[in-house]
Amino acid sequence: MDTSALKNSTLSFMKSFNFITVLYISVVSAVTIIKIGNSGGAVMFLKKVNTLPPVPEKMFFISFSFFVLLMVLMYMHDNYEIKYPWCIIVMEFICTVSVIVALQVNYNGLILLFVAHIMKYFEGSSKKLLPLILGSTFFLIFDFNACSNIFKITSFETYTEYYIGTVAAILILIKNLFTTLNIILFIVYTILHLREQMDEKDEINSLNERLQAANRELENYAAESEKMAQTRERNRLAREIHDTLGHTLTGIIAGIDAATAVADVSPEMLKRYLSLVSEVARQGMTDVRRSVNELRPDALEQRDLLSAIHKMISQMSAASKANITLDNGAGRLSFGEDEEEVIYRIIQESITNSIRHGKADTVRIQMTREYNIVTITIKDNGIGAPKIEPGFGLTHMKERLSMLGGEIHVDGSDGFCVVAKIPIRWGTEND
Amino acid sequence: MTLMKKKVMGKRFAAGVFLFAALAATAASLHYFHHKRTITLGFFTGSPWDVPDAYTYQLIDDAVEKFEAGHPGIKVKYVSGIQKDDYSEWIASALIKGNAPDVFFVLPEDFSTFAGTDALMELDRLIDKDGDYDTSRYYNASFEFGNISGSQYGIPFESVPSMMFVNKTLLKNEGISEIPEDWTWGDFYRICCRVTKDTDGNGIEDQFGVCGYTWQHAFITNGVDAFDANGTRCRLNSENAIEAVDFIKEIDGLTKGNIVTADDFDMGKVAFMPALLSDYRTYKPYPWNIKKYTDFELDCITLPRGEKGDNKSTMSTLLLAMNSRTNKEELAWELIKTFCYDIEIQSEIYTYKEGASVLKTVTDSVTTMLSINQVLSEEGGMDIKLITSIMDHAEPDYNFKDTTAVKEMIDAGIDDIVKNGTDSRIGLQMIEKRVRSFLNK
Repeated sequence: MDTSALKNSTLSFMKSFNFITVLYISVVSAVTIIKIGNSGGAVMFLKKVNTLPPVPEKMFFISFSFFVLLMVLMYMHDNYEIKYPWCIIVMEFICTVSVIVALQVNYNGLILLFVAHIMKYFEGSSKKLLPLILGSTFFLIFDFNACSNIFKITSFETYTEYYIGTVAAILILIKNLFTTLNIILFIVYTILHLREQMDEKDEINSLNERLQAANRELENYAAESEKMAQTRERNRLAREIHDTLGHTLTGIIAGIDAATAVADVSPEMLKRYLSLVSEVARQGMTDVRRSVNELRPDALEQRDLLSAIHKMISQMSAASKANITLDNGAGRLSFGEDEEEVIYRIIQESITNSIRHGKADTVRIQMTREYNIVTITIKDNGIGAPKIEPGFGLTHMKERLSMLGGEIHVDGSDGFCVVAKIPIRWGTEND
Repeated sequence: MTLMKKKVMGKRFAAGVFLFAALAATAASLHYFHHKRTITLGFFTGSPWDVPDAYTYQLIDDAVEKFEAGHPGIKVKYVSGIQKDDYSEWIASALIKGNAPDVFFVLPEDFSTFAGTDALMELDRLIDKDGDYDTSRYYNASFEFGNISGSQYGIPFESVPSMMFVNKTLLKNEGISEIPEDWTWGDFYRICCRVTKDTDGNGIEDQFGVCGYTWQHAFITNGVDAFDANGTRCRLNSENAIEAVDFIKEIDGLTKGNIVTADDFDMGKVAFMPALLSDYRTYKPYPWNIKKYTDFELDCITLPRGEKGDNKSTMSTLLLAMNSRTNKEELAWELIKTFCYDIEIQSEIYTYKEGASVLKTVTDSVTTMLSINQVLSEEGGMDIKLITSIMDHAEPDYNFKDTTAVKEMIDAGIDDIVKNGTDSRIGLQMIEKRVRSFLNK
C-alpha cells in the first residue's frame, strides 16, 4: 500500500474513531445526568458543581447532529468542486467547535481531525504550516482545564463521580484511551502526510530531469530543422531561378538565335524578334523582382499583419490589373511571428497562383476565426487547373503549415480555391 | 495535491439541503408556538416553615385563576402533590434533566445552591424594564434575600421573621408585668435569673428562663457583621461577637447543666423561646393551640438587644424564581408578579398561609389588620404594629452558597466554647480560621 492510500485510510479511521468517542462521551454524560436526576442525589450534585449540566437529550442531539454535519461537509469538500473553499473550511470549523462546546470541552480531539482533514488543502511552503499552527492553538484553547477557569463547565469526571469506584475508573479510563489513541492517529497521519509530500518532491525532481532531457533533444531537433529549412529554401531558390530566369533566358537565347538567323535576310523580321526578346527580358525582370520580393517579406517587419496584407494586395492588383478583395472576419490579427509569416505567405502564394496559372481577374480572400483556428479561404474566377501541380508553391505552403500543425486544401476544378486552417497557439496573441 | 477530478455540486443536492432546512424550521416554530400557550409552575404542598398547613391549593388556585384571567389563552400547568420534604430534590432533579418549570418556588435553604449553578434567571433586567414595578414596596429584608452578589435571582413571596415567644402566665406568676419593646440583654438576663428555680422543692431546677437561644439571635441583636454578601469573607473575631458569645455563656450558665428543650417550653416550664412568626400564627389560634400550649397564655415580643445592637430579627423568605432556561420570560415575569406583587393574592397569605406578606402595604393595610387581628386576637390579641416593626427592622438570613454547612460549623464551635468554658476571643478565632479555610476551598 502506498503512502497516499495509507494516509487516506488513517483519516477514515480517525473519523470513525472520533465518532465513537463523541458518541461515548455524550451518551455516558447524558445517561449519567438522567441517572443523577432520578437517584435522589440532585441537590447534592448541584452543590458540587457551579453550573447546571447541559440538558442531556439536547447535548446528545446537538453533538451528534453537528458531528454528522461535519462529516457531510468533509465529504463534500473532498468530492465536490467548491466555489469558495474558505467558506466550507469555516463551516467545518464551526461544526467542530459546536460539537466541542456541546460536550462542554470534555473532548477536544475533534480539532485534530479537523486539522488532519484540512491539511491537504494547504499547499506551498508558506501555507503548509498554517493548519498545524492554528490546530495546536485551538487544541490548547479548547482544553478543559483552561476553559473551566473562564467558563462554567462540568467535567466528565464530575459526572462519573456518581458511579461507585471501579465503574467510574473504567469510564474515565475508556475516555482517556480514546483521547490518547486519537492523538496517536493524528501523529501517524501527520507523518504520512509529510512523507507523501517528500515523495512528491522526489517525483517532481525526476520529472524535472526528464523534462530537461527532452528539452535538450528538442534543441537539437530545432537546429536540425533550421538546417533543413535552409536546404529547402535553397531548393526553392533554385526552382525559382529555374522557373523564372531559366525560362526567360531560354526565351532570350532562342529569340537572339532567331534574330541572328534573320539578321541578314530581313531587318523587319530582326526588329520583330528583338522586340519579342525585349518583351521576354522585361517579363523576366518582373518575375525576378517578384521572386526577390517573395523572399523578403519585409513588409511584415515594418507593419502589422493586416496592413502588410493590404499593401501586398494593392501592389499585386496594380501589377496584374486583377480585382483582389479581403474580407477579414477574424478580428484583430496579432499572432506569433511564425504564424503571421505563414498567413502572409499563403495569401501571397495563392494570389500569385491565381494570377499566374489561373489567369483570374477577381480574387476573394476570406478570413474567419473559431476559437484558436484561423481559416483562410482564397477563391478566384480563373481557369483553375484540373490537376494541381507541385510547381505551384503548394508543397512549400504545406510544409510551412504542417510545422504549425495546420492543414491546407486546394481545389482547381472551378478556379482555384485554397482553404487553409491554422491553429493559433494560446498565449502567443499579443494584446 | 488533489489530482482527483471533482464533481460540481448538483442543483438537486442544494435543493435537498434547502428543503431539509425549511422542514426543520417549520417543525421548530410549530413546537415553539404550541409551547408558548402554556406556562409551568412548580410548588409544594405544606408549609416551608415546618408547621401544619392545609390551604396551599387555595392560594395557588386563586393566583393561577387571576393570572389566566389576565392573560387569555395562556394556561398555567403544574404538578400537584409534591411534599415540602421532597420538593428540593424534585426541583433539582428537574433542573438537571432540563424539564424544570418556567416559574417555581425556592425554599430558603435551596436558594443559594440553585442561584450558584445559574439555574435561576437574573431578574434585574426584567425589573428595570417593568415601569410599574416598585421594589421599595417590599420589606427590605424580604427583597434582599433574593439578591446574591448584587443580582436579583428571586422575588419574595412569603417571609417569617424570628421573634421571642413569651410564657405570659409564668411571668405573671413571677410578678413580672409588661416587657418593654426595646428591652435589653440586661433585662433578659435579669428575668431569666429570676424565673430559674426549683418549684416543687425536690432540689432540681424545673423552671427556666430560656431555651433555644443561639449565637444567631445574639449576633443579630448585637450588630455582628460576620459575613459579606457573597459569603467569601468571614469575620467572627470582633468585639460585638465576643460580647455575644459571652452573653450566651452567661445565659447558659443559668441552667446549671440542665438541658432545656422546646418540649419544656410547651409544657409551660420555660419563660422565653425564640421562634418564628409562622409558629406563632399556627399554634396561637384554634385548633392547634389545644394541641400545644394549653396551660399558659402565649405571647410574642421582639428579641432583646445587646449593648451595641438593636431589637432586630433575621427573616427567612420563600422566593419565587424563574428558570434560567425558560423561553417565556415575559409571561413568567407576569406570573411571578401575580404571586408576589398582587395585593389581593398577597393578602391571602394572611388567610391561608402561616408567614407574613412581603408587601408593606398588605401587612399595613386595614383589611389585613382586620384579618390578622381576627386570627391573632382570639387569645387576647397581639399588636399588629409589633409584626410590622419587626419586619421593618429585620435583616435577611444568610443566602450564600454554603450557608448550612457554615452555620453548622459555627454551631459546633460555639457549643464547644460554652461547654468547655474556652475564652470567647480564642474560641472565635479558631472558628473563624476553620470557616475561612472552608469558604476558600
